[in-house]
Amino acid sequence: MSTFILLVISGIGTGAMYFILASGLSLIFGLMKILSFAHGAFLAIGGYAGYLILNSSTTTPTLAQFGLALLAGAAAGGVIAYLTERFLIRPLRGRETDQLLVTLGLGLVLVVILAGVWGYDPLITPLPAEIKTAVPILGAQVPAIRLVAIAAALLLLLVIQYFLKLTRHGLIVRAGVENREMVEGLGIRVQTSFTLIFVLGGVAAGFGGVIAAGYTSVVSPLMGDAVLLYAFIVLVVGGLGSITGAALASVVIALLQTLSNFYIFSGIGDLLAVATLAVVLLAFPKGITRKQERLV
Amino acid sequence: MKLTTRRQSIKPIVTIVLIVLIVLAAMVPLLPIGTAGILPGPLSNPGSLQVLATIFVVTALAVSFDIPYGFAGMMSLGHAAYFAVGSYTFVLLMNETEVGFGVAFIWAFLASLVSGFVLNAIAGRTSHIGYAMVTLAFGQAIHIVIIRNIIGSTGGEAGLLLSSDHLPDMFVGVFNMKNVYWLSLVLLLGVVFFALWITQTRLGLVWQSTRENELRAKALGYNTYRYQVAAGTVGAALAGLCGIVYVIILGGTDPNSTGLFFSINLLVMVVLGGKGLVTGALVGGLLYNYLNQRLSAFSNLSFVDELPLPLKIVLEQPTAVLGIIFILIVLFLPGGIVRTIRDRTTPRLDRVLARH
Repeated sequence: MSTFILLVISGIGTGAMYFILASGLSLIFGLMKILSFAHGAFLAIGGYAGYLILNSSTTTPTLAQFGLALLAGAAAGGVIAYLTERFLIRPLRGRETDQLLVTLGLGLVLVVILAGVWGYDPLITPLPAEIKTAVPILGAQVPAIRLVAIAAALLLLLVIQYFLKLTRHGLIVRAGVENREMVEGLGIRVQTSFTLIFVLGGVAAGFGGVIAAGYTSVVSPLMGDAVLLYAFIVLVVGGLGSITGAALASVVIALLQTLSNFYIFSGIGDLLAVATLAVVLLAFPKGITRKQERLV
Repeated sequence: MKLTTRRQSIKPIVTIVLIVLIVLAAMVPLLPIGTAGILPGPLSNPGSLQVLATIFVVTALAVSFDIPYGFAGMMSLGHAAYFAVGSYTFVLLMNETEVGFGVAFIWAFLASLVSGFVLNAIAGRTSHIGYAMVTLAFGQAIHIVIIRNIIGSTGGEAGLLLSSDHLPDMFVGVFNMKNVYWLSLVLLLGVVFFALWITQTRLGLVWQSTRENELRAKALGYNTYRYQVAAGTVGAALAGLCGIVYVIILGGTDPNSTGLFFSINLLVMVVLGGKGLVTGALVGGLLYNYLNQRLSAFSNLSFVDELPLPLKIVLEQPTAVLGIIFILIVLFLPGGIVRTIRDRTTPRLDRVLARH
């Protein structure tokens, strides 16, 4: 029983990681109709920024340093996302396929540059003792970092919901997701929202990079792309452009993956997660939660 | 309206240059001349031949990808999967059974053709991003099966070695690398001429009209779904052939060439040269694969050491250089290299007339 509880909490923790990346991608797709392949690399950049902070002192880092690392990761992700939007996405406005291609190319380039600086091998990231300890929950010893990841994802969900529902910019974004032309027709600069959303996605990815570094206690150039594929799955299963759908889907997918990897055999869970994407796309081309985005 | 194909008027000089280039390429294994670092050794040395053969095969794969992607407008992110199906089926049949070279070759080809048909019959129900995601999913599923060794016979991350027991003697050993080279040259020329031909047929023209405006093609009475499945199947079958020749060159399978990363690289090659143009995919593929193979050798040159660190890191990674070129092409020459050159050198009226 304690194994099962540990697996369930780990599964939700993994789902939290997927959600942190998918939330930003979902907003970006909803508003800008771009599927960004670069956010995996943004996540890795955030992870390395956090690694630099955590690895800077010879002693075990404190909780305050971990907080600082989270901020640094979020900032790094935000800055690189801003530069991407400003210099690569914006000049290609209206050419959505080319925008997708540019994010693909950028993702490749950033990952190999990270590898050029730090190598492809994973680097061990020192963590504060507090988040490495195991917390007993219903008889299972759960590493605290998994709870941190879940808490971070919940916090992000709240922040995004607050932003979307209670701020003026959020209102514009929601309206833009529904009907971009109409918002532009009303004389509102959607471009500002594009930048904002793209950077927000980068901030979430960078933040997620530090959480991922804590979760696996390593950073590597490919850490983001490993999450990116599942973030895509989550985003499609949850309905492109829907945040609550993405939250729900990330938990379901990650639980399915974790449990079947353990109880059936290793690797089958990854396969099932990928199969879910295909099945959902074919059966519910509009996503399972609501008729949000027409894919076909 | 009757669809007629009107051949582009090829100038005699172009034909002559082409024939000379093909003859030169065919004579490479007989020319023991130095290459001054352009290749790992003299032209006829097995190392150089292997590099060239690999470049040819992956270029042929890029051309096979251009058929569904560039001509039929189906952005697949799982093209590497058909390549993998071809190479793994071939190696498994060669190593585990007694069927022999020819039969293994045909079965591996059919396996990739069928996998392409089945996948496209399913994925073709979606379009645009949906198609990209379904092919991504299938491609990754095959990648996971291979790399995690789920069926227990794919060798996982180490790949599989091709046993030479049933391989014809002419392809075995370093001294026969010239035959392997010729095989890959024949494959490349075959795929290129096939692609040139099929994209000018009625089928190819419907692909292009579907790409330009699917609704209109449907309104004209074409069942675009069937045409797209055909495009995906043709691309997959050719990719399977490339996979077979690739394992003959390498002497085994390459698990790294089965996943999303490899599929993305194919996309990069096609876009570099110009999607929807056979010559574009050909030039893009040759350029990309040559640089990918040889840039790391150039970065050992002395002048690189004196460059500032950020530049040095980029130059030491072929993928970084190619990725940056790719981004610049998408930003500034969205038609690709070949289309840009062609448009700059051909008068506009000729271009319009040369269209079908």
